Amino acid sequence: MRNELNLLELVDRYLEGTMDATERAAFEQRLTAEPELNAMLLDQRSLREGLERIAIRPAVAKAYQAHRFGKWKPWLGGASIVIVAAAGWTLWERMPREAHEEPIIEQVDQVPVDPSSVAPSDTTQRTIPYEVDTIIDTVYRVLENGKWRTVKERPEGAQVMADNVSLSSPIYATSEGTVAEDRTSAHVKRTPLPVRMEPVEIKPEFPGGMGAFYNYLEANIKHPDLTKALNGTVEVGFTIEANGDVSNAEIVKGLNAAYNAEALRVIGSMPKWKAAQQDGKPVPCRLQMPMQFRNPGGDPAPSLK
Amino acid sequence: MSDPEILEAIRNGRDHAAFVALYTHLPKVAHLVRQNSGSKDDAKDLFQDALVIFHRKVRNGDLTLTSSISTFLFAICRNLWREELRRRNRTLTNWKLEDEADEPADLTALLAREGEYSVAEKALKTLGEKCLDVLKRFYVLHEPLQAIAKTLGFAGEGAAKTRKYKCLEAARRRYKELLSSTGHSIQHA
Repeated sequence: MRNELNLLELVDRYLEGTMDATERAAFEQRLTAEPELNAMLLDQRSLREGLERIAIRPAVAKAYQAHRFGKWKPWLGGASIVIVAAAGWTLWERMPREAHEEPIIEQVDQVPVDPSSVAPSDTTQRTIPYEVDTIIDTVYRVLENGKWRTVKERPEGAQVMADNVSLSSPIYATSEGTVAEDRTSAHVKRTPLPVRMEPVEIKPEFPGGMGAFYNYLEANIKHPDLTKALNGTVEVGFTIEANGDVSNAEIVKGLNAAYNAEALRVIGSMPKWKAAQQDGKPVPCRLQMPMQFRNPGGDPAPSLK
Repeated sequence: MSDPEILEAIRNGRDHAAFVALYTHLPKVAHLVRQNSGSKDDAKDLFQDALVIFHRKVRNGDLTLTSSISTFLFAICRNLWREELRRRNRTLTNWKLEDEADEPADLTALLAREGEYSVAEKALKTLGEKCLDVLKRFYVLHEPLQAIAKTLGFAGEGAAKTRKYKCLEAARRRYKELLSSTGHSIQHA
């Protein structure tokens, strides 16, 4: 082995170009005379180059995330993935207002807005009906004198009842956005997500805002296996820590192992958020939201456990 | 970023900025791949392989660009994809002839060894984590053996050297095996 170690050192020095002219000439002489040494040289060059490739891969992958994150890429293939909301939400400015229905709930994330009431600021922008730019807000419903009222502050001691939000008025808010021409609404339909979150003074914020959050989700969620694509929803919960990291991602309501894992993967690989704030200090905040996978013509979801 | 700025960034180790800028050329490649029996993921893998090759060429200083970076990357991808389809027993059906015109003439020579490097990459990835770590530290990061021994908990410089050699030999054996079983075809790592 000693001899081979020495040979290897020689080969490495040759590849690194650290030999002087005389040594180099002698080595090249040996290469022509010893096919085994030549083979060793070629292998070593490949292996070293392979190592360099491996070392650069993470940077390539990281830049890909940054690239995707920054811009919506339209070349979706196979079954479409739809992120659908059962409930809508309101714009910050429109708070508080009454909902179309009166669900019995303790805490609604958002109140739906009539689509016609969203003022089109620029008609050209309305050609992108699924770009959403809203601000997450939390409102509470309190029961007063037999009537439900929407308030922004968490009421103390008021009678509140808990239930899941189930409104059926998806809203389509519009905003500027770069969406490629070949992305048709038939392909991907987007409505706001009913993100539920713990009440905090200042809500956590995904870098770039909620529109960016949707872009991120749409760009990254995949059917685990297109040949076995399902229709169904995975409800995920996760915490945005005080430092902005995502933690404690868990399945609240699952679909199957593969879909659950996919939902956790996408949530787990999110970039840092801007943390929620309470009394001027960053605090952790718990969020929960459904991710719907849709495959037109695919198998319906198996019964949920 | 302009082409010269991208080259400058890679030479100065600002890889992330360079790669992000380079990804703007991905859609064109994605289109090509999707038009020719490939998926979105195929396109991404292909393009990333091209980025790795491009990066290595720039770093090694053996790249003379006779065209724009965009053209160069696209030409690499087209070549690799042609190779990949050959492996899958298909041909490029929606090939656009006018695209061939801007292909760098020396591309074949430039890519001659990349298939082997790709196989080497694959072989190295079958090594244990620690083995790969030793090799990366030594050959890529150029850490001295003594420092490697200390970081990874080997008895000393000699032990690190022996370990490095054994890992390299294991990789080399695997590389030879893969090479003979795949016949030099491009592997997506």
